Amino acid sequence: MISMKEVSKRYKSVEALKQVTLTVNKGSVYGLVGPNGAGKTTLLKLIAGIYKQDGGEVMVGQDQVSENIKVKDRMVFIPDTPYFFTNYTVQSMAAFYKSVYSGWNDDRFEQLQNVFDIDLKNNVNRLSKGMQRQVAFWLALSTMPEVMILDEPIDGLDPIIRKKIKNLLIQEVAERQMTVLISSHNLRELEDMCDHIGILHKGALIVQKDLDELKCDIHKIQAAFKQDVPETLAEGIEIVHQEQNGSFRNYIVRGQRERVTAHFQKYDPVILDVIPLTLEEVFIYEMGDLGYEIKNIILS
Amino acid sequence: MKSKTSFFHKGVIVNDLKRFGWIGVGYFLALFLSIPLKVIMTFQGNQLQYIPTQDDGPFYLFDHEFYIQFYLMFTVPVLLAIALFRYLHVKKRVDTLHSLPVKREVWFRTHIAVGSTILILPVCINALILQFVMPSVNGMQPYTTEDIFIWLGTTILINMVMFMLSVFTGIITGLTPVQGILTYIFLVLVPGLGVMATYNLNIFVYGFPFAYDFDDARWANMFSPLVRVIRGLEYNLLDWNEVLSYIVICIAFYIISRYLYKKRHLEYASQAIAFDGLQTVFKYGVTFCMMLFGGFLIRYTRSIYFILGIYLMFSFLGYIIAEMVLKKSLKVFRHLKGYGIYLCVITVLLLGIAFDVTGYQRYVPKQEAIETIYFRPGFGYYRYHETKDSTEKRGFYSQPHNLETMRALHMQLVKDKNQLKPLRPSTGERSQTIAFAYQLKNGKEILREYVIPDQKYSQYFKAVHESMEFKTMYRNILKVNHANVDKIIIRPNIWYPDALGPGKKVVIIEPAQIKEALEILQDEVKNEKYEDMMSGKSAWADVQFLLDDDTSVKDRWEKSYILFEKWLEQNGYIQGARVMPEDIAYIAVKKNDPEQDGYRGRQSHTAVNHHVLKITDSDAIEFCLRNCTNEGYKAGYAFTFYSEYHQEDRPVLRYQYLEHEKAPDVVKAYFEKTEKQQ
Repeated sequence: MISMKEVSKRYKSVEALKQVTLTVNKGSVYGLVGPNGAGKTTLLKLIAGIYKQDGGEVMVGQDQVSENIKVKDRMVFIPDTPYFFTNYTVQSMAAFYKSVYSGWNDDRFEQLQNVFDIDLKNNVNRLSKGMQRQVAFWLALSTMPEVMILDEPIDGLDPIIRKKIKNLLIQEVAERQMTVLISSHNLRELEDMCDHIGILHKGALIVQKDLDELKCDIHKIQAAFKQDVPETLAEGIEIVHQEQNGSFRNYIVRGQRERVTAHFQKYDPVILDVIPLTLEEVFIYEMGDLGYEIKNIILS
Repeated sequence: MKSKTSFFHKGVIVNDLKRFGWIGVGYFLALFLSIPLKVIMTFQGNQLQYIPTQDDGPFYLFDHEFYIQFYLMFTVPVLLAIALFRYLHVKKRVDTLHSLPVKREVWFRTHIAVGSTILILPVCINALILQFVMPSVNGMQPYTTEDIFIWLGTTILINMVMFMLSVFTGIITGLTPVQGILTYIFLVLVPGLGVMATYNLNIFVYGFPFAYDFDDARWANMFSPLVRVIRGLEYNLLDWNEVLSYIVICIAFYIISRYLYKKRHLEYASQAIAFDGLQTVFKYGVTFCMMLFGGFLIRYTRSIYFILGIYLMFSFLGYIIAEMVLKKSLKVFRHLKGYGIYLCVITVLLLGIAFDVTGYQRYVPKQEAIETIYFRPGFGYYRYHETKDSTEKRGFYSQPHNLETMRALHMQLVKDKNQLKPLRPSTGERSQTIAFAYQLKNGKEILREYVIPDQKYSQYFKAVHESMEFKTMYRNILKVNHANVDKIIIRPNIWYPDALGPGKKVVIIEPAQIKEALEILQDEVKNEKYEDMMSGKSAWADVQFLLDDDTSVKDRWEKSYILFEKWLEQNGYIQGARVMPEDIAYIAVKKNDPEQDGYRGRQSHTAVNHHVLKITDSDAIEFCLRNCTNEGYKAGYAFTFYSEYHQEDRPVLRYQYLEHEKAPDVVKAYFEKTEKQQ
């Protein structure tokens, strides 16, 4: 649905994006993670057709995005701080969006009012930041978009609202095959809703992964042995990382879960536990040396 | 896809009107209060103070609260453009709005359409109201429908120029305050640069015409509606050329702005200048303008080192300011490479001027290429443009001998560059401005101007002033034919018409005498020497020739015209023709010290002061009458002549002077004595 091919973008002397290639399939939720200044917002604004790339190609569906009304009519972009016209109420903002988006759905708008529970007569700019975000979602979802581009939309919101918004998005994806591209500087935020994750660092997309594949492929094993660790332990399995803590030993191992535990059982451990890995850990171990380098960044 | 095909975006129109419509309402009210309401109040009941007539004509509408109209014209369109395009300068807004399915072109077009409507509609409604309430007083209308149209058209046109200019600046900048500032800078940029460049070129380029007539510079009007409107709309309506220029300017701004909007990188919101190329133009433009401004401020200094120092200081200041604005930071002192390049370019430029690379300062047109030369010593270019367009071309020479003389003078001035260059009126030496305006046969115009010492080049002036071409140009008497003269009237040259009692004059009606008098006077004029012309003595009398076609020609009887004086004596006219010693009761003489007092400083009319000498001796009076000059800038004595009719403050002659050596003995003796007493 969304594809970027070797896209680069400069701001004067600063290279904001370097040869970024990325694909988001229809109906999937793609999480873009990276520290501040990594180029996330730039990437999103290129896809939203706000900025123009210096090189490469940005496509949504089969079309170029820039100045393409057909594409933009099916797509909604919510910036990190949404903008509403001065002195506009929710209702007048809705009227404006209705005049701009052909897909606007009045029923959906009314239906969503129950979810958000914000008075239509409220001056949007006087609402709290969290409320404004909700209004932005409300308006965006009422246009029945095929693609949503969200720039750190849930960072800094309270957990209840966060949950509410996540649920709404997941529901839209499930029901209408909506495509979502969402950014955050915190991997943990995206863990429970994304099916793909891309990590952006200093303008380059350093890793892209399908989460389902990722999580079932790598395991943390905690084990203790009566005697010294057998030398042949590492044979036949792929140990990515190991460390010792007293008599306990931790192993990060790649491979199918059953096969890995069976392998360890053969050496007769006193204790053997398979501990679930957080997404962060998965990424860090997956990326090897680079992982340690950006560890601090994505865990912030 | 309703938005795809539409020319304007309905949603954006509605939204713009909703947000900015109040500006239109406010504008309408302001106009309504200052014009139609005023008209209604003026013509209500019988409280008329003044009934405007048809003669007040089209000017009447602009006359009403002109200053309010003026301020509205130059603020409302700018405010409106700022309001409409503010979203381009705020990141949050520009991102949100440009993610919507509306093309940039449609945004632009729709904003312009809404803006124009907000500016035009209030004017139109007021015009309709004016037409509707147009009062009729005594069958006369104070203004006509045509007047209303002129008012309507002019107001809309100036509004639109201001609006489009402001839109243009809004597109090229990323900061709203800069949009406002740039708009007003652009408004005076062309005439301002013109004035500053002229002053600066005059400092460095020898012969560059300095007193170029800016009032006549129509291009300044065209490029600056502000200058144009300040010069008046009430009595000086826009002509069709101006209307056309303004329309072209509006269209040009529209096309350029639309193009730039499409090209604009939206991430430049909150940058002072939103295009990389223009940033460079801005940076060096500000540097250069500041340098010129520095030169303009000290334009009367002639020390080259001081001027270069000021250039250095001001251009550096300009560069730093421009960099600070562009970088939005005070830390710009580390990046001065650009300024170094600028200095190199300017140095090359100044060296080029110093060595006259283009040959401009050496150039004197060839004799055979010249059609005419406009030349008026002491006047520079004063009235040059008016004279050029008029039928009576005073000051335009074409006689080969004169052209040769002027070329010779010009070449001499070119040669004397190094002596003349430092000369300025303030250096103490008496100087004059002379200008050459060559009209070449190939249609080109060559203008040069120099400041020269008063006396040094008089040989050239003598040749020109004694030529018949000069005399026919300036002496009307040479055009008079005695057969057409009905009457000659000679009136003594005095300060107040009744200072010698009523009606002192000579009237000659005898045809033979007329013929004789005219011929003698014409001969006197033809033979008059340059030295006499420059003597500084005022004429004895004005001579008026009444012609048979009821017109008259005026000329004068100079003191050097001895033959004419004799003729008057012989025919018994002398008594009435000039101020005679008998007419003067006494002369009040004072010391004249121009250095100390300014040369009219001591001229008090009270004769009671003990530093005043009263002369009553007839011979001395005759001597003074004959020899006094108006050259009060030379130290000596000042003479005021009183008659017996004299009233306080109404002397026969005043501001008459003689230098010490040339004064009568009685004067010298008296003042030498008073000085000794002191």
